[in-house]
Amino acid sequence: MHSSRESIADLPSTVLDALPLAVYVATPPALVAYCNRAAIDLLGQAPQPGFPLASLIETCAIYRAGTGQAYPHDDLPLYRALRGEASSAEDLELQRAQAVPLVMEAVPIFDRTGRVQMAIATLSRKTTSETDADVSSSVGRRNLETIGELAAGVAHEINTPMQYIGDNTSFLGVTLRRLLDVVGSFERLIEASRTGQPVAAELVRDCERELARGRLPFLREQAPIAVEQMLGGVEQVRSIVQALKEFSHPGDDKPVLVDVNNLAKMASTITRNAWRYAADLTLELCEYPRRVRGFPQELGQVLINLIVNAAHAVEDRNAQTGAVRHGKIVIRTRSEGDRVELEVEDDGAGIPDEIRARVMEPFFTTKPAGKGTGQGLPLVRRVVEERHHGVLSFDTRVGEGTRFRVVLPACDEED
Amino acid sequence: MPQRVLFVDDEVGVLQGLSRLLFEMDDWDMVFVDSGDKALEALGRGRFDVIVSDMCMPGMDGAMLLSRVHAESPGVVRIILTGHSELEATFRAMPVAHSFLTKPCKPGLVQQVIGKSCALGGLLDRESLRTLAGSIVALPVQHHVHARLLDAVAEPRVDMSLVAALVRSDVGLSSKVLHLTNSAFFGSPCNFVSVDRALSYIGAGMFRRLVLSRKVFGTGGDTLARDGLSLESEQRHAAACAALAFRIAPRPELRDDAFLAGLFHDVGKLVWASREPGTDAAHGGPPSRECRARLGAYLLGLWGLERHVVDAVAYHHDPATASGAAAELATVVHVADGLARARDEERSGRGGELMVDVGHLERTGALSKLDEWRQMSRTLGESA
Repeated sequence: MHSSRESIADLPSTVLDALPLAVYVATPPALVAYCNRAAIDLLGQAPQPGFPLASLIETCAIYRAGTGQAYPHDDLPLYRALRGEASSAEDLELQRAQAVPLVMEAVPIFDRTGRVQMAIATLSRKTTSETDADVSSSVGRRNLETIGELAAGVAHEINTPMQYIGDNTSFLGVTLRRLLDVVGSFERLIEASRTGQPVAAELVRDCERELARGRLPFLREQAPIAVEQMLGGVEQVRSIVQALKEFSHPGDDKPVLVDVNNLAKMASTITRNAWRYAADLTLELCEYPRRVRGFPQELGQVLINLIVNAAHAVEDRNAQTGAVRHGKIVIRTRSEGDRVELEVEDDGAGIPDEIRARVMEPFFTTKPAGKGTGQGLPLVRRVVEERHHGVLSFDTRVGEGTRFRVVLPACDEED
Repeated sequence: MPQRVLFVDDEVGVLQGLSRLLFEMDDWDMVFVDSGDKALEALGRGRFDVIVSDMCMPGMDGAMLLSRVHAESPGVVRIILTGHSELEATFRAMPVAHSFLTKPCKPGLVQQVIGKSCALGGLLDRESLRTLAGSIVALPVQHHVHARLLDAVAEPRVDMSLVAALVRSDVGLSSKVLHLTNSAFFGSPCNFVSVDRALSYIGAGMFRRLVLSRKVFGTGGDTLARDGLSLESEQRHAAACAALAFRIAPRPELRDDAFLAGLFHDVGKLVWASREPGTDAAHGGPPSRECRARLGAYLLGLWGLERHVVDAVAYHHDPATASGAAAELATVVHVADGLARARDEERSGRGGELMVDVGHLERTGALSKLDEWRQMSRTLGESA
């Protein structure tokens, strides 16, 4: 028994790879010796033997749940096993767009002299019943995380106009200096002509020189466009900051009346960087929709999730067909009788038959690690159905696209 | 000949803003295109000196574009100008970009960085050598130093003083660390001339990621054997020269510059050794030692090192040619190089004759100190 464990190379890796459980093997002092297939899938990393354990934990962003901090190495069961101690921990979290709660168990394996030869750990996702059951608090927390996930894209959307606002300001600064030089030379000319003396040719030459240096044809053509673009840039930054403000301040406990058209505009603004490279997004908003009663941040979250999913679906379709095609995303609002509808439609890959029934399950995801945690749609459904008494449905055609529909009860009354 | 600069950004507003910002740069011939494909087309049609590309673009993004440019037109200086703040993007650009600027860019910075790159052309008139320098992504790091570095960053708490000692002892590591900090990969461009300061700016966590990415620091150096060199002895000589240059710097504030110029004085040898086998003739034959020094200096300049350090490296064989702030520094490196070489020869029982430009030293008043420095060199050699 003992000798068969002498070397990890003796273990049939096909068996380990077939295990639906993530297995890690580490050797002293703290190096990764082996990860099975499930482990690589879970962390999205395939470290080579000899890779330092500390960096695995850091690069995979394994956090202690609720602390926002990397898991302290010394407390991690795998490290404890390296020190000869078997243990387990249930407060691990994979820091992703939406945190993935994990359980780790680890045991040491000793050599003949009693020294730790290696440590073996398993890592598994906490099942739903083990995770935070409190819908409202977890919705609130996740809300912020998705805004956090979008932060890099939002920064890009702000930095880009700031770049050309800055460049155009510098340009207009130079323009102004040149024009003032021209004006100055003309003032001297006028001053000289007042004396009644013949005007010195030199002053005229000065004017001509300043005019040439000012490159007036270029300025005349470019300065008005520069100003227009700067104002456009300012408007873009303003609208993003506005959307951020609406979506990111923590929701009140009290429901309020929500305008779904405004919601659609804000959600499309804030997600612009997520869809603009994949698709065009159009808003087809009905005039004067009735309002709904609820939590604007959470409903915004619903739309953000659906829009980001739509953009991914377009990318998936391109990946499947190998074509580079700019997709279409449509956000529609409709107000009929006592119901208000929100639709997000894409012309992406569609959802295959065999997984249609599962897309609303927590942790079910087809996306590569780091791109989705399988909590988006379940969250959307909880917000729509449990928090807003609405209905979430979708219809889809493989290879043609998907349409998600949120139906909410209309309400015109304040409390 | 005007400098030709190619700007690439999918946002037309950014391109137009740049064209207005730079409208008075009469000695630059600027072309603006809105995709990576169009950029490659433009590069295929004509010569460019510099490319400035956005990172996030549909289809081919900035990192992909610059990899293509690196492969197809390595002589073109590659600059990223990005609005992205994600580290992932920075990491992907690191191996292929010479500089990394972030939007919104400080006023004047775009002009300054492009201008600095253009000004380097004066160091090297052979275009094939500029292309050779442009193809360098990283300089070789000694295997045993790299292994010790991996051990050091495997610790939960990285001992940064150990890391600093390892980095200082290696030309490949030091040059890359300063490249990353001085070319703005981590925020604003810095003018660090001290490896320690650059490392503390990068920080332990980030440095660990750099090492573990295995794409930033170079390995190898196997091609050196072709020129009868070994990486170990080159590194030993560089370290000896750096230590001596530090000691003989005429003023304390020059010490860090002197150390760095001493450490990097023979980078040109490493660059030249990286050429494709059998291409000597295409490069116009092996370069003279002066030309080889300029080749190394050119690469250091592309990597954002301070110009006087670059010039000190460029003119360390012929310090009388250097001017301005670099003249003094070039002389220091010239003497340190000569002393370190003589000491090595003495030890191995060969001549040990000190090869320095005595006339130049006499003119600059440094000759009187030569004996004192030689003694210093011997003492340093014994303690090493």
